[in-house]
Amino acid sequence: MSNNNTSSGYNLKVVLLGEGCVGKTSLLLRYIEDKFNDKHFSTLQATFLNKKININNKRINLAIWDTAGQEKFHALGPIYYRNSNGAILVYDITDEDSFVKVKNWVKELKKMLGSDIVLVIAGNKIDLEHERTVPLEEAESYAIMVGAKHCYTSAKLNQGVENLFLELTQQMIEKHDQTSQVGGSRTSRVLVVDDEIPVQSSCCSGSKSNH
Amino acid sequence: MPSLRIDQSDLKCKNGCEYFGNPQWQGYCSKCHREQMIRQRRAEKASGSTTATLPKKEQKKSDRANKLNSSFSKFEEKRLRQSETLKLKLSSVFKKSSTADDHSQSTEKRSQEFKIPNAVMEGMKRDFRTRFPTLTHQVDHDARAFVHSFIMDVIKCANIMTVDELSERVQRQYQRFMKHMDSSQHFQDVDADTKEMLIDFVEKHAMTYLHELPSVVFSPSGTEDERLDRAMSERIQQLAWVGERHLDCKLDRADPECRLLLYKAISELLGMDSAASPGGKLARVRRCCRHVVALCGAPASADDLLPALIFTVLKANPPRLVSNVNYVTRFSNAQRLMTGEAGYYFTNLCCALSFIENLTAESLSMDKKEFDCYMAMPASIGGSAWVRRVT
Repeated sequence: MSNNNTSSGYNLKVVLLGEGCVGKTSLLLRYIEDKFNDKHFSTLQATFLNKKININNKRINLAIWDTAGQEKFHALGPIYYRNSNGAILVYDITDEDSFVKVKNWVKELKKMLGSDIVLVIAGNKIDLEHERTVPLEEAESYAIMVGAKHCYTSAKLNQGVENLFLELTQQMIEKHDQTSQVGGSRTSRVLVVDDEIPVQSSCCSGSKSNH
Repeated sequence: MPSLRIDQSDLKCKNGCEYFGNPQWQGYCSKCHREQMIRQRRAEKASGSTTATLPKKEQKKSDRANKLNSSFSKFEEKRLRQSETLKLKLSSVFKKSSTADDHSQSTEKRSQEFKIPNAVMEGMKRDFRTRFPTLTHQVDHDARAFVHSFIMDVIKCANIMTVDELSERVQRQYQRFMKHMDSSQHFQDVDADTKEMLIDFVEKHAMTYLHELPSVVFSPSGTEDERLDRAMSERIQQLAWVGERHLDCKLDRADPECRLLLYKAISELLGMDSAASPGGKLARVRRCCRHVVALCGAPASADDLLPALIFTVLKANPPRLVSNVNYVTRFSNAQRLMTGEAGYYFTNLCCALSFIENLTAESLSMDKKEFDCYMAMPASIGGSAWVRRVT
């Protein structure tokens, strides 16, 4: 049902997924604040962000949605990531469990959305490098295996955050252009049919005449 | 989305003739239903009574409702009757008038009867002028003509389509209008933001009118929406004892400002039912969630927002919640639901609903026995009196 390609540019939706306390919200907050910092904008919420950006003269409306990370809300995932173009899967490099959670999310997303969705895995808290428990090679080889980009970030030191979102956006644009060309995407399938569907006139009168 | 649940008994005409029945014809086949309606109307005329004899199935339904709430059942009866007359009107407009019976003469008259009232069209004209004073006359004309054809199309299809098909058709209408704006010369000088506002304008006026028609787009016939509304409301009543600590919300009972924000959020959520267009309902959800965000303290995160919103929904117990949510999901412009602020908050509301529906002892991190104990309590005794106590 999503119609991404209007004259106003691309509409892209991104969800942030990951366990509580891995710093999803801090990443988003950092991204929001950087934009507004010079305007002395006091941030009221870091739950979602709508941002208009220009990449290669393309107008992009980026909608970034944070999700509740508590375990008891895990089952609500599909409601959040419906119609998403991209997902950022965040884990804490000092917390192995959070990386296991990321693997679970990847499995679920692949199952539900197939390859329609662009995945980026973000290892957050690299300012705590000395406490790292998730091995660097393991994380990176896993990302390659599932076809996801891997990024390192530190929301605290503002490292890699801007790059993370930029990288993801570029990939989503590529994916979007690809699927539009192939023409097999759900987007174009909905768009093609825009003329009148003939009304089934036989519905009422047909059964009547049978009597 | 409603599931396809079909009983064998639902399939055949209730009159016992060979043909298939249809829930929209109260389980009769088209012929028997028509005969039944004619009989009914004659009987009405004869007795001079105003109450339509409800077919068996509906009577049972309202009996059950009667036990729950007599005033509600009256309302429901009235609604059923209304929707019946409307269906008659509509079906007589669109069926071929070749059938020769005592109906055929009135068919002509009826087809003229069904028109979008002038007042509606005039209101739309005025609204356009105030909202878009700078746009050209052609844009004005195109937009209003589109709303007109949109409404007529939905009414035409409502009787023969399932709600999912109808929803898809409405979405296609929005897309068609967008396409028209992109290709038509009339819209050459209109910028992208104004185009979005024009889509909102079309949605508002088309859906506001359709919303008034019973069982067409709001709690459409053939769906479970009404039953689910009641189930949800009862469920929330039963969960009245759930407090902020069960949900791990950081709310400060003692703080008057915090209480004020909660009341504001609750009242916006209650107001959702009274808005007619999907955009209007979404605006209420947005305002509600802004209060909830403020309630969580800045900067609020999604981890705070969802539990606090669940708490707000539980305390508000908004009327016809499922119907309202389904109506927005089906008939609001899908693109807005996917992005925008309102879309995000609405998605959280959907999450809250799903959580409440499926909530268990585990999801409240409670002991199973304690949970069962609370759930067995009559709803009136339970209740964390958060709202009541402080008033």
